[in-house]
Amino acid sequence: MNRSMTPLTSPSHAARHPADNTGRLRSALSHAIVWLVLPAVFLLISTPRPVRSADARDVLDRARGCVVKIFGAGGFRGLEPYQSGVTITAEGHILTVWSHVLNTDFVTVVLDDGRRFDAEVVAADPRHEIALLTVDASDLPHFDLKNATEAPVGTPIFALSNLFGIASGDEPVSVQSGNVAARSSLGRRLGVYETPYQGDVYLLDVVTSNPGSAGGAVIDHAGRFVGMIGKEMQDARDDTWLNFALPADELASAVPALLGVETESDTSKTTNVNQPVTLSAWGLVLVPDVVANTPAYIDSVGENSAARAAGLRPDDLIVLVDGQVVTSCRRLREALEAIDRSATVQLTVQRGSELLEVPLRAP
Amino acid sequence: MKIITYRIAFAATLLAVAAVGLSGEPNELALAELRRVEVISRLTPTVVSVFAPDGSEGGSGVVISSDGLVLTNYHVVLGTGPWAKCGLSDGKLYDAVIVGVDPTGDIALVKMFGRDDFPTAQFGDSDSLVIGDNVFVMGNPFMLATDLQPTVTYGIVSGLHRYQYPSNTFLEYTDCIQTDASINPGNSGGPLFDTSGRLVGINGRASFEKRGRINVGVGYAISINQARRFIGALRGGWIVDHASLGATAQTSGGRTIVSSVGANSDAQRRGLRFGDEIVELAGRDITTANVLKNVLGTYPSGWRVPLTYRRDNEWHDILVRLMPLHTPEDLAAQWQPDAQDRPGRAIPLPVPADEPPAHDDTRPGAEGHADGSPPRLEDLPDGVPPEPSPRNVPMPDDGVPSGQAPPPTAWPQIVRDHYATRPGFANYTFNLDEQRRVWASLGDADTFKSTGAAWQLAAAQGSGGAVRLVMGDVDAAGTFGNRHAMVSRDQLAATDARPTADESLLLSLLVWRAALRGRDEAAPECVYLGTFPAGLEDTSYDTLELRFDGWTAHLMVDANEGRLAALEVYPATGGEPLELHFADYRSTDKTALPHTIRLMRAGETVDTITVDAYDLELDTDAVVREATSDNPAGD
Repeated sequence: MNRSMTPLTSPSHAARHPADNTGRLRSALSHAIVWLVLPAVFLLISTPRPVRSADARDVLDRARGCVVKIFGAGGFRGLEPYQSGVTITAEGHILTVWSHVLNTDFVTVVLDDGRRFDAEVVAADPRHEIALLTVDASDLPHFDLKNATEAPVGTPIFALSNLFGIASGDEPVSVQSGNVAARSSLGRRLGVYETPYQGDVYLLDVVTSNPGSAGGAVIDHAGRFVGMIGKEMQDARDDTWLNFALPADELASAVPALLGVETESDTSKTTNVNQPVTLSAWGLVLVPDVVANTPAYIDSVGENSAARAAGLRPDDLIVLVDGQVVTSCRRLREALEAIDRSATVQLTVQRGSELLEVPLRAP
Repeated sequence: MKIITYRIAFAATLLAVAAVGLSGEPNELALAELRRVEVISRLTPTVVSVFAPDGSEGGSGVVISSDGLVLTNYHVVLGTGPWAKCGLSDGKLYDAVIVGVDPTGDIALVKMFGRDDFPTAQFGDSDSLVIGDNVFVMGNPFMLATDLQPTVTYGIVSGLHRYQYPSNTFLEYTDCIQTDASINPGNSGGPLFDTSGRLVGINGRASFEKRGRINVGVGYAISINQARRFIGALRGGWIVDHASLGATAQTSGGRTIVSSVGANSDAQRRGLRFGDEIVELAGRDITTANVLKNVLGTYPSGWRVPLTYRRDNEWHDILVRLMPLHTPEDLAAQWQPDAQDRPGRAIPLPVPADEPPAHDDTRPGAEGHADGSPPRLEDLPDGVPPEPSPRNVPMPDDGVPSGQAPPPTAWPQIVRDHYATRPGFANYTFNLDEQRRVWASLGDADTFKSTGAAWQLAAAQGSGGAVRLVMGDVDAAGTFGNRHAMVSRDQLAATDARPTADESLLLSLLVWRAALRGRDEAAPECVYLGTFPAGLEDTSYDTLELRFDGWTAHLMVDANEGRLAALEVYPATGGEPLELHFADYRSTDKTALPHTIRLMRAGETVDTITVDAYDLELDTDAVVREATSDNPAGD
């Protein structure tokens, strides 16, 4: 029963045994026992807690400062109005997953210290299903994506997120422990998961697929950023849930573009053109714009229109216009205001779990 | 030969280094694993699998005393009823009876019978946990322990000071521990251990969502520091209540502002007012009203906690006695095991109210125990005579009070012998046991009974004056320098009494003497309340309540030392009690008696006396003679 004691107690048992033939052997054995038992006993007594625990404390203390709570749209039909995010610059840039939560003009970010900010969704990358938010803050602790690390299979990790919305103000986010179980491409299982993302993910052996987890940080035990917890994702065939993170290297390659969009969009806002392009010129009708942030779904496509010729269909969701994120019908119309009628516009639309690039030019 | 033996020794040393390691990463890991295995094997005998008598329900528990007290969840014993079968890893099932329940904090105490050497878990300090600490969960998930061997899961502390909303009833998890060690239905009531094997929490809840009632890496444990504050009252068989401040607060501009104060609350009496900012409670920074609620929820009704508030930039430190959170009626309704339609109730693990109820999966594991029907009151044969009782008020030596239905005969005899119902209690038998234990700790009852008709104290008052105090059975008199005072016990029952400081001291000493001398006769009624702190210090004392006509007294006993630490007298006028704090116990010819006695009221020291001499065999006639001759003008 006392399995751990077996290597320690069996030699002493032998030493007591009458079958030991010489005194010398006995004394040698007792030396051996001392050598066997002492270090073990000493270490057992001297370190009641694993050393790792103290290190983990510091690592987690630092890391939780870089994980934020995000509150936005949702609250119905199992769509929680909250998720997680990570700070990636000192100046208030927050990386998170692109989801329904951001589908509102009123996104709130709560930092680890409890400070609350109105956040702006400045850019999104539908291919990675990630988005960039900014808050008006400075000197923030953050993960430096340039120093992010690759995590080989078997790497012990911590996952930090606001799962189940347990933390709301200055309470620390939740921490889970686990390991990197695999690195694999979601694209290999096309159609199984409802996501346009086809790149690599880390599969984790800990249940990170929980409400509110998405956007949280995965770090190794040295505190290095390993990846970002992905959206809740279910296998279309057997309903199992995927616990995964977007690898830091994939994010690092996507983030510069997002930061670039931010600066571009700042300038484009001030640009006015004489003859802006219109949806009707393309032959597109969007769904009725009934709520504050109606997603830019195509309702119908005109016969013999440019849109029809380009292959657009009803129910396609317009997500990017020239690489700039459009989160609603209104935002799409605003984006078009700044584009000249004669220009060729690069639309990115989502059809099912596929992302399609559609170049479009008014006739 | 010598070389050979040294070779053996050398080889053995190498083996030792390889096995347990002195340095380097693989050895460190091997050692950590060795340590883990050792701790788990040490803890296994303390883990309990709790089953309903008919095997239909169950949960987990942990042994905390060698005489078989087991901590588990209230919601587990709701399923098992007033008695249960407890399985240990020795492969045996022990009969167990309910002792006390905490319907708000989801804790229950049951007692196993059959041994006096049950292996026990050691308490840890849950306040010293930090996020990232490794923890073990042990218990009976999915009722897997058909061989009574507990399941072990391992994880980290994911969060601390979590708050989980009440789910349909009173049940609320305040300031609890969140862990990713797997907690599943059936783990309820089982222990959360730190890596050195100390008990830091009682597991009881988990967040579930769309995946059914299985762990998704988010479980909750009640902190052991919270549970420990209630264990005294639970041992006393109570349906225990949690605390309210007697005042409400709301978060406003980043501060916690008092929004109302109850008229009869201790907080009001001690000075808390509308608009004050609450800064600290029980040593915790109160940053929001939510934090206040979270901290408050971990305390029993009647506990005293330090509170710091700010008004006009001035800081005030007060000690507040906390008030009940629920009415006695509401509380009693939370434990009516006999009224419950037990078979088919399946609540091994409640889902927090803010989450949608999960689809109720079939619960595996119970099949092996489904034999026989649970005991019900209807099974009671006619004509069982009620236990005889000479008085209609239960006394410490009475056993079962009259007028209650005896337990069903289908129950094991040992359980029937240790079960008695009474309003406010889950099992009154244990209150009687605790009363006996605490009285016994104060020494032989006859020590004080055999003393004289009056006691006399010669003492020095704090201000330096000499005092002489004489206490009889009903009256007490004293000379304080050139002041005189005389009191009667009736004054405590009067609702308009306003005793002076001198009179207060005499009144409370009168009660003190009566309590020590009288025991049973001293009060019409006595109950054991549990353990409570007497002041600012961390120590909690076993507390007996003596109920008189219109007023009560609390004896706060250091049962280990066998000494009365404090006495609180609550006069019929209501409000602040008179408190006597006893210190500097020294041996007299009879027994050890306190030589420093401090009278306190409303948190302030009113008087301190240093006793020079006790006379427990006072010749009262001589006193009267002396009084009439020395002080003809007295009174």
